[in-house]
Amino acid sequence: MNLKGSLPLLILHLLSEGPYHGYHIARRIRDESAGVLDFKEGTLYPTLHGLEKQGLIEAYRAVENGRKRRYYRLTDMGRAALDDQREEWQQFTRAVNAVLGSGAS
Amino acid sequence: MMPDAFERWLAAATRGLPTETAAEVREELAEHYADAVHMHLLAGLPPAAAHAAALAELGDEQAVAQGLQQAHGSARRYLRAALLGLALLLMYPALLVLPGAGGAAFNPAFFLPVVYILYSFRTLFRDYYSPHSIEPVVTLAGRGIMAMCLLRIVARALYHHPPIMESYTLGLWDAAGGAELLLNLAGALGLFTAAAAMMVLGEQTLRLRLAGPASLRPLCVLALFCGLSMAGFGLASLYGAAGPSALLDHAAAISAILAAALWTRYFFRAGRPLLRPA
Repeated sequence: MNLKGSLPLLILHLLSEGPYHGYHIARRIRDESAGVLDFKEGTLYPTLHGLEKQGLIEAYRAVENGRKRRYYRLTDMGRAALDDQREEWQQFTRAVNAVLGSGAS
Repeated sequence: MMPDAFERWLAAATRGLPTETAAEVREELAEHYADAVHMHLLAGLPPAAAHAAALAELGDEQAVAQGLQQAHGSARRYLRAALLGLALLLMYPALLVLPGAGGAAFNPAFFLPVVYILYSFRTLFRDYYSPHSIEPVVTLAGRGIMAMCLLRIVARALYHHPPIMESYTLGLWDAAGGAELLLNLAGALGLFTAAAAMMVLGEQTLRLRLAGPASLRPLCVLALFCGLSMAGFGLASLYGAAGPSALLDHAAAISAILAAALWTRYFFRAGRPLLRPA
């Protein structure tokens, strides 16, 4: 399934749990959707950098298992944006479900 | 040690980014790749298959490059360059009409658009084509032009050269003294260096055009023409030929202006997604 459009929401949601690096985010999306939300992992980085430029997330360097990694964490602005986007998504799915439901009856 | 396929992927994915940003992004993508390879190895894949799988998971490098360029405002960077190009382009005719400007031919400001174009070439080629052979040529041309400009400025300040139309009648060997002659010779050498570099650049550009956008063609021709006319002007000035010297000088000036105009247009196009890596 094409992730385009919902990727920022998924990233913000995952980062609301704590700081992660890019690979971890990609694996979480793939694994937790049981492979349904399949995407090319390279395209994660333009989205991450775009969110960083918007001030919704921030990056920092940390060492993990002796390796320097670039981690991302949610900012306050990102937290507010996550609430808004989550609400928009729920409205959207409710609307789609309503249409699908009315067609089925 | 990263395999060549991933190195190529990385180079293509980070094209068009500012140098420092590109280095950071490369590091981050290399971390991702190393993690993916490690996971595939743990899953039991042989090393070659693990690398291939990790690379395939990263996806299309052009799509990543486009997304990263968008995220990092590369288009804005090119638009700024285009505005600078326009400003330089307008500066040249403005200088011609300024009182006491001394005319175009020996005014070092004439070469500013040329220097700008050369460095634009460097930026564009580094970002979109990465041909390492271009860099030394552009650097040589830039240094040649700057050396010639500086020497011209020194010569004018020291020896009070006559206004431009009169100086057309003066050949290199008509110089008043030894030091002036040396300065003139050094200036001519700078001109020849720049001319040779422009010609090599034009030729290189023609080769690269095959892999790049077709709109590069007029630029190639102009770069060649500019180099040839600059060399011709240098040659004519050695013998003090008034007519051909003036003619070639104007030809060089006109081709530099046209090249600057085209290059500016090219940068404006680069500001939009029209100019994508081929």
